[in-house]
Amino acid sequence: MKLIGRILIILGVAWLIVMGMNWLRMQNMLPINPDTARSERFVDGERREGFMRPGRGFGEFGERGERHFEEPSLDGVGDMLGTLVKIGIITGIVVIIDRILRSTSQRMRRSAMFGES
Amino acid sequence: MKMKQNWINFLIDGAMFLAFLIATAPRLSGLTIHEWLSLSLAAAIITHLLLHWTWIISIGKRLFTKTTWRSRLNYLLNALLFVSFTVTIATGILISREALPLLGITMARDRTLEFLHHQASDITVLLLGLHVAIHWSWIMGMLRRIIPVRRASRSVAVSRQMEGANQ
Repeated sequence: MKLIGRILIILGVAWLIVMGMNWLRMQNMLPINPDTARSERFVDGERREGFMRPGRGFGEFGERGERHFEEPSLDGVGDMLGTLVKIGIITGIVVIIDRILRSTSQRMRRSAMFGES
Repeated sequence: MKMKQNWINFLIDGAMFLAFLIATAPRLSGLTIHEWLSLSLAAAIITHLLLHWTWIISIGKRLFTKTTWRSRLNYLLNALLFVSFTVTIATGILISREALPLLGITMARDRTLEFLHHQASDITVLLLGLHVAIHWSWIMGMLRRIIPVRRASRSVAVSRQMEGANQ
């Protein structure tokens, strides 16, 4: 019973977040709208090979990517590795900063102790 | 008991991380796997939250009173990660082209939602990096239990030194 209650709380909070997002969207308070979304996707498509071939106009955008990743392909390994590298870089930077801060605070503590004695 | 719980957490978190990596590459997995894997990731997130329920409640209760800044930062980061995951999964469900139609539900296509889905997943990658960084020492501790490379090499070096001293 307790477990079901907790699951319902999690789902309830998630539901509230989704409703909030939808409200923001309806009020046009999100920094995106269908026009920006379309232009951004079009630029992205021009840049990325296979996503949308150059030369296809906006009229064909409706069918954007219908087939482009329907079938599994090893071409997408780069996307996965890219995400892994991004996470690795962020983690690495934060871990290094954390270690520097810790060692600095330890040195300050030590110097304060020696200073007192 | 505590160690067993740690292993369960480590295995679930590792599986979730792997699933997330695959889910961020729909060209690799194909759209069907991308959608179903993401839905199972949503279930895994709920499991993850249930496993850490005590921490969520205890830190949540004393978030504005007596707790460390590190815990506060961790709590805030986890809350943001939950929001970004929720937005990513919700928009993913709304723009689904494989999973939902299979269940007989079809939604009108919305480019804003597609764009939001991509933006939210990018933010999730960033927040996940920070989440991993905060738990880095725990992750490394668990990995050292699986691959005790350093300890083994140290013990070999020590035994060699002892052999040299005996000779």
